[in-house]
Amino acid sequence: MPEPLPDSPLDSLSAEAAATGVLPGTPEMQIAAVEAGADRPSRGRFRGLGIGAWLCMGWLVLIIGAALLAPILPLDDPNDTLGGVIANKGFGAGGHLLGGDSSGRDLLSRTIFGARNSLTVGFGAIIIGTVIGGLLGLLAGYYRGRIDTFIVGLLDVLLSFPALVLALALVAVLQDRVSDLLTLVLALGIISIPVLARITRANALVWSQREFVMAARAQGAKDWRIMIREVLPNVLPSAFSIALLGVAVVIVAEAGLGTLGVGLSTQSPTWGNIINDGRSDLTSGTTPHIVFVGAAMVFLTVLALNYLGDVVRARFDVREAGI
Amino acid sequence: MSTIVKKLIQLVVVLFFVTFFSFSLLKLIPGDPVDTLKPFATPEQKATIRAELGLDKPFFTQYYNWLKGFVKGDPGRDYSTGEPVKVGIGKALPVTLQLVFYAQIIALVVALPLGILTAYRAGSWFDKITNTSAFGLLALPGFVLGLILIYYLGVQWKILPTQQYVPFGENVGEHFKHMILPAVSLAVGQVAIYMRLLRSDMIQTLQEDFITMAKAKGLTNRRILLRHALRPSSFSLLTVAALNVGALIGGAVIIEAVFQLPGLGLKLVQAVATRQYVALQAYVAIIAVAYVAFNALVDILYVVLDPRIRHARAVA
Repeated sequence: MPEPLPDSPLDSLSAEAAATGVLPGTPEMQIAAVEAGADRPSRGRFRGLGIGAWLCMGWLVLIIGAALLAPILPLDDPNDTLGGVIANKGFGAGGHLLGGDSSGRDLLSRTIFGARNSLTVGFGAIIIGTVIGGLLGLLAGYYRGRIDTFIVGLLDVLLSFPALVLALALVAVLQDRVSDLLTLVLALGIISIPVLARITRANALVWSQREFVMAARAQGAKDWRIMIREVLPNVLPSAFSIALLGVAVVIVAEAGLGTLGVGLSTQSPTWGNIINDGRSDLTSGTTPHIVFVGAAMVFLTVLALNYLGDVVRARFDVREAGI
Repeated sequence: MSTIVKKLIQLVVVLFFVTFFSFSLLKLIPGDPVDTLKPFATPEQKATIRAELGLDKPFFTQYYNWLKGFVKGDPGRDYSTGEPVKVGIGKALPVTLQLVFYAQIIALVVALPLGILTAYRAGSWFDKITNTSAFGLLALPGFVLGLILIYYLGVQWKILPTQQYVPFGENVGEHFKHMILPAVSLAVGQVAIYMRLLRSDMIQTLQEDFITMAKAKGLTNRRILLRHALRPSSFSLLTVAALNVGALIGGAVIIEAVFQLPGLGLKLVQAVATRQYVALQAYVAIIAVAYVAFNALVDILYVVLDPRIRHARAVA
């Protein structure tokens, strides 16, 4: 079993978690964790959402709706080359809103079917990460002691690998066992476990000390009941805001792996694969629009998720809730 | 000093688990490893490889032998090319390290003044615009920016080369010319993080009494910001910058593929694609060990540099 990890400045930070909250993990998450306090204009908890939040939500609803409805929307088959008539043609060519990719497949259709895959990976991975990471964090924060030491040690081993490097290794392990899609969901789910576990642990540590938990214990409630009924509901909001940011990170990771040609098979439309398909046309200077379409989808979706994650955090943050 | 010894012991323990994890993880790959490593080998060749890898031995013996080879600098070879892994790493590692180093430098050099200025003029238009742009940049993955830069600066305006690597020793000018776009692509996401971090810490520092004191003494704003406020504010910036080396290495993997730089990332991707698990084990372990050791070094540096930590330890 790993020793309790170095109680470094980093660790003392993560113990006060929430006060300073420098979390190891992805940039977006770090920022999210770090920025919580001081300089954010204090929004009233029940004040209406700003225009930005509505725009972001609108974009996400649009994308998720299109992804869900893709099979019944009037779109070409995402893998139909259409006889190559719109191969490498730009926006609007032949009545195709986003033009065609290098093999002549309708880019709008690939984008929307790509949203299906990219969002499945994003949300699927984070659901795995939140469930497993949340459980580990809850156990560690509630029981402390040896269990805590063991879980934190485990997380620290996972965190010793740069996330993308670990993801690549996991893809290598999984790719011949399960389907491509499941490989990606599992690999990216596993790398998101430590971050979600840490934030849950930090919060569970604080909440497990509160009076109502002691009261429940004094009344003879079982540990699992206290964890689920008393601690979990209080820990969820912060885990949720980090999970939203996590979806964004996973979408970027999928796009990155797709760009490396390691993700889903190149036939399946994903935003990463669209970018990868268009790369040679971009570097040769013929048709940049293929990469730009994939890039724009990733950018806008990640922007929306980051923004909403921020809004959620600002509303449910443990620190601000008390004020 | 005992803190440092304790940290070193912990480092060794962590390194043990990290190497063990990298080794056992890739042992989970299904099928006969030799068939995967070299599918078209003759039975005799396969027997040789099997003996070389000691696949008939118990798991822990295999790990022990692998670790011994790893520590001695000979962690097997790439069976698709026959090249020993250490040769590959020797060529690839400098490229990745240069890329990460340049990106970190660029990120810090840009983020420091922006962080200081936005904190100094918090709430101003400059602050708002910088913050909004930083938020936008956070949503722009480095490799996407890299592709956009390749298109405009490389292909359209032909200002900079994009698809090649020139070693530092060969031609310094060309080296930097080829590295600038990859390094900038990798740095941009970090700029946003560092800047926002420094800004929020700096705003807090500027509320402190010793800043009021410095103002009362009539020091110039410039001097207060740079000499009095910056140092106490840069603590979490440096922490995050050090932690971020992992994220940078991860990002470098994709950036290297996009810009065709022959670094560790490209090797890693090739090893996954050609299913060279022995090589992959070595690359993953090398990266993780370097990352862990680097973070431990930073930790120890804190103890040496920051009296507050030493003091906190003594009290505890």
